[in-house]
Amino acid sequence: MPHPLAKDLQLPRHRQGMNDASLDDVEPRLRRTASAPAAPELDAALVTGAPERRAPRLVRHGHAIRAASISMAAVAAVSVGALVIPGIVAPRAPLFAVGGGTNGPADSEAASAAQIGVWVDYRYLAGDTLATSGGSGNVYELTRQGTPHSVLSDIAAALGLPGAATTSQYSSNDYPSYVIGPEDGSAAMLSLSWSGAGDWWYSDPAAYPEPDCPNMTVTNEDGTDGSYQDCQIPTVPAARSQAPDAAEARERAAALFAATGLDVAEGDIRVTVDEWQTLASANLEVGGVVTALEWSVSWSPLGMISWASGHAVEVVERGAFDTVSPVEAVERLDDGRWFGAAGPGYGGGAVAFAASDAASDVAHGAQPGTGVDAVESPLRTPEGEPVLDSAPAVSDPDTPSSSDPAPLDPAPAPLPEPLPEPDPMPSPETVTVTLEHAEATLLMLWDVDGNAWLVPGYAFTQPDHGFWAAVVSLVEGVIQLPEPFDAATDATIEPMPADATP
Amino acid sequence: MPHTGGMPDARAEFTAVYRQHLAAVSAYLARRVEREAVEDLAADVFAIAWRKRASVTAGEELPWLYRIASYQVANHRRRHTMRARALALFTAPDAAPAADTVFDGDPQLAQTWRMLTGSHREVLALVVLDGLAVAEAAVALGVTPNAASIRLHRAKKACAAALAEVESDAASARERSAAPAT
Repeated sequence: MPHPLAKDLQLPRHRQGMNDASLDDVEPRLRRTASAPAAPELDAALVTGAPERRAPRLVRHGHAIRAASISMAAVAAVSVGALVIPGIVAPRAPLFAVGGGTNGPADSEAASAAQIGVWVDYRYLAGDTLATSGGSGNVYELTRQGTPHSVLSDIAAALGLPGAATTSQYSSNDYPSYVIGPEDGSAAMLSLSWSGAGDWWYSDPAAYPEPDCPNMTVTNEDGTDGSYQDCQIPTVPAARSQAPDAAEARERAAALFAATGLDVAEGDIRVTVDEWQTLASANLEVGGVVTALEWSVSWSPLGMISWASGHAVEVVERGAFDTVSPVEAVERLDDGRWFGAAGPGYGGGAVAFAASDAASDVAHGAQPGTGVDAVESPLRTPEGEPVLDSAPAVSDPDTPSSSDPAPLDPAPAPLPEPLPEPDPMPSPETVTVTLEHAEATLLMLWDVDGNAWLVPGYAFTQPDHGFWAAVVSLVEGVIQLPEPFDAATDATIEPMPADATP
Repeated sequence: MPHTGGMPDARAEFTAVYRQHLAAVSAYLARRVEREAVEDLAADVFAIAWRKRASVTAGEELPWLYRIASYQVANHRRRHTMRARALALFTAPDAAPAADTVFDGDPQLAQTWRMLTGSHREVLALVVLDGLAVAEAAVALGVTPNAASIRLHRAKKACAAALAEVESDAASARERSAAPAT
């Protein structure tokens, strides 16, 4: 049986047999030995002049990055929920693991599994086909250049948005943000977050037709007549849609992306067309690797840009560093601190599941320059065909796509009935996954100051489960990981041990 | 110095309360950063204290100043680390004194100090080196007194265990060096 202090002391068990005498000796010895510092005598003007001095940010970085991760993920979740932007939720989700002490891919998969009502405990083994030798890979820092006002003005000019940049009402010292236009959704607005990956976001409510709001009469419970407005945005028939077709969307998107910092070939821009929007997206490529940084632009059926997003960062190479082998990296899948965000081809559990069902994402082949062979995309239909090809496709807005869902009359969802508690409580199904395939790629991470980095990593595929998991492949010591979360000492509420009387 | 409105009273009160802690803040910082950085960091500490003065409970000013100072020390160390290493970014440095600074006269204790976790070093430093009571250390750490007490107890145990390991290794090394060559 392990010594009860084994976890606290983080020492070999045979070293943990402390008695009270040795414990009592520690404090006096520390006091005795500690040398008194030669503290300088400070001028009283430091106190009297404090009101005039510009105070630095008061921020505990470990907490700040946690808060940043949560807030950014929340924004991403809202964006994905409202607009179905593939790739935005995936980069942020792992940061919960880094900042919040969750269990990385295992938790991600558990969340995905929860969507289909399965509780699974994954255990990973390195298959015989995984490489046993490491290599090296470049590390890149994503830096914000210029001033937020000038950056915002440049993006606004590319979007044709007039107005001057002001500080957002949601700005804070730790997470400054700026905006052009009203923040109440009444008109076109462009916002820029001057932290992390320099996320910017544009939306224009005027891009869609005015909603039709006919008065509907109802009979109230007391028998009197009442009415309400039943507002719906009218659907523009495909024949009258002014949204660009796929080829034109690629051309326009390439110009917008270039003006906002992403140089991308039209052929690398993914386009989807449906009755609500024409959406064009592309990701930043670094060293031939597609990263998680995504630019997107959407046109409404009125032909106007309804929303767009991107990043205001430059990529700065910080050198090459050794990497562990894929076999060694498998162990890191059990430690969320190594988890990072890969490009859209490795969309993560939730995205992969959604894509396979809704056919809303794009397949990717191998990434050149990573030193690995092309592999099958994780986002394929059961027949093995990509759901959409990344090459320019013929898209006729007059012809409904065969993949478009058939219109359905909205029906009230049945209320969930309370279910009895299972007895006995179920235990998770343990699934042992042997990983046979890994691809070298770049993963996005946030540091404790909220800055974004791209570091080498491996994306492991699980052929029987349809999702990818990506971990950093840098050797130990290149990046400094947080200390493992220790619930016993880091939790807010701590049990009082019997022998801990102050 | 020109004062306006209600500021004079606030400034005078701030100066009266905080001026007495100058030496303690200087000593706290001097244990943790190089001497030439002490004055700048202290100025930052008091500037933050002025801005946040409404959030401190009367009587807890010193441990609260230590808490502010701990953040400044951590940030100061991060800036240094950034210059020294390409990537040392993914955790906040602790604000405990470095082993080489305070235990330079006892190599075994210095080695023991390095083996402790940052949170253990921080609580030990506040209580043992800076002389705070446990309740004051709790304010400085931003945790409850109960949590500070538990953390201190565990830190002492960890320190004792690590010291035993260091001394055992040293004894083994002495035995090996004293053994006659065969």
